[in-house]
Amino acid sequence: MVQALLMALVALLNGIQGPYMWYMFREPVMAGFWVGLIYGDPVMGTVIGATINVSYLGWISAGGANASDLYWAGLLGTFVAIQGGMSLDTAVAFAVPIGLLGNYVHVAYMTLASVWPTRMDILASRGDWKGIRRLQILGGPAFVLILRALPVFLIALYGGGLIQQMIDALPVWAMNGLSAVGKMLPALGMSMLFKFMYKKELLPFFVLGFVIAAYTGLSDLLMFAAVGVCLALLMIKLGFGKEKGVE
Amino acid sequence: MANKVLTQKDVRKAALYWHATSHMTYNYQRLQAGCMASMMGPIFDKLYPDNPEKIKEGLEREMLYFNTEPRWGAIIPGMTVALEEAYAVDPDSGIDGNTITEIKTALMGPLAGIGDTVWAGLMKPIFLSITLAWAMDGHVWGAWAYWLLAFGFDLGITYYMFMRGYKLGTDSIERFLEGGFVKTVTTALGIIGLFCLGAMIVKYVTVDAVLVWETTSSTLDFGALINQIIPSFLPLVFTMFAYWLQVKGKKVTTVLLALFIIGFVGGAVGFLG
Repeated sequence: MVQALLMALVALLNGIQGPYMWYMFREPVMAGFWVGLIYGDPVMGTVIGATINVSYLGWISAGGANASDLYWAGLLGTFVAIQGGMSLDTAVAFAVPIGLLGNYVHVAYMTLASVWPTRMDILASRGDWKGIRRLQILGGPAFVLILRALPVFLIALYGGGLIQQMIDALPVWAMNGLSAVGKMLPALGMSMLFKFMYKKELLPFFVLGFVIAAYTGLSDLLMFAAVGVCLALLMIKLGFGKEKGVE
Repeated sequence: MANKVLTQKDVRKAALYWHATSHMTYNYQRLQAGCMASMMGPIFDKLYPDNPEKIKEGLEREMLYFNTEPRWGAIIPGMTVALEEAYAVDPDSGIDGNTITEIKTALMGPLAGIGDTVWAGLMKPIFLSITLAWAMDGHVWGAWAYWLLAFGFDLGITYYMFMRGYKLGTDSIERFLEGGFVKTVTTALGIIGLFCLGAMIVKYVTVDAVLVWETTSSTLDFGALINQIIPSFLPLVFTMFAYWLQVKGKKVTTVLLALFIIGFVGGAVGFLG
């Protein structure tokens, strides 16, 4: 019961929009940490959350559109993985479909919260900006409470045993399939990022990064970032990307 | 603008309010308008101390549709504060309510584009790609390192852009958008991003061929064979396949489903693992 209440609290913070929540509660790696903490293993939670997070590296929300729901993939994905005692790859295979489900919740939220501006218009015509401020701060979170915290509370309260049974009932071939899915799905995050970053003249840098990592087996990304920064500074210094002016 | 009514403190408060609440009641109807209007509330109080009609008018004006990227785009609400102040101090300055709305509306699209590219497309993935590796190795501080980087830069950029927007006014924003600065930043981050992305595919996409062909005389391990020719070949192929589907106009959900099915069937029959 206490754990389910704490899960509901994390779900509320995870769903409220804004930079104070986005990085500390929404990002799957942090959501995983909190869920792990609630169930007594923050390290495991962090590892699961981080593994799920990889599939969401290219997650971009533009104009409120939401490709796939980051919020629940990390939160409930970690919960399901811990309850079912899953391998990391299997956890990813479960988290991403949960994220798709969460996507509908996001659409419902954005639609329901559309009632507030209409009310704000009335307040504006009265000059009551304090009323608008109250609605701006409480209006969205009120729907998060109903749409996200409440379902998570119920799932945390009643879902644990069910998930365990479900996982135990899965045949070996299905587990193998899900495990392969988990290793495959990060390709989606990478492809979204690639689509976003791709520019013809920058392609050699992508090939360079891939080839170095693939052939040498070096995989410390801090090192790659440092080399990348040096490459970028050198190229800019040499006037790369300047000649065409503004796109 | 000889007459400044607002103090540094007023503007700073507005910047921090924008940072904290821009998305708190995000919705399809008006996106960030509720934040814009309620952010301007205390400022209108100060600009029109005994003219409630002007306050109402201002609030209604700021309740109009508004949406941009909240960090780099913070230059727009900052600028809005400056414009509303100029309009209040001297109503004949050439700036009126319509001008303010027009300028905001003209700028929010381009800045959303730039902001999303730089933040969501480049900075955040780079932060994640470094810190997730630590977190996956079982370091809880890796998760918090991500928080520190992302929140720190979010706050820093938002605050800087907001204050800059207030200080510079409109013409300078156009210079900012047209100048080489944006191009240089996106090129530099693009180089870092794509270089890291190449390495990330090798590190994070770990799907491999596990098919082993056994004949009486010899064993043929397809996975080992592929990796001998081109290491991490399958991760690259699947990433490019997913990219290709998206370029073809397929929805992300469809691509996800495709990868899911290929992975599941491949794993179940013992080709992939």
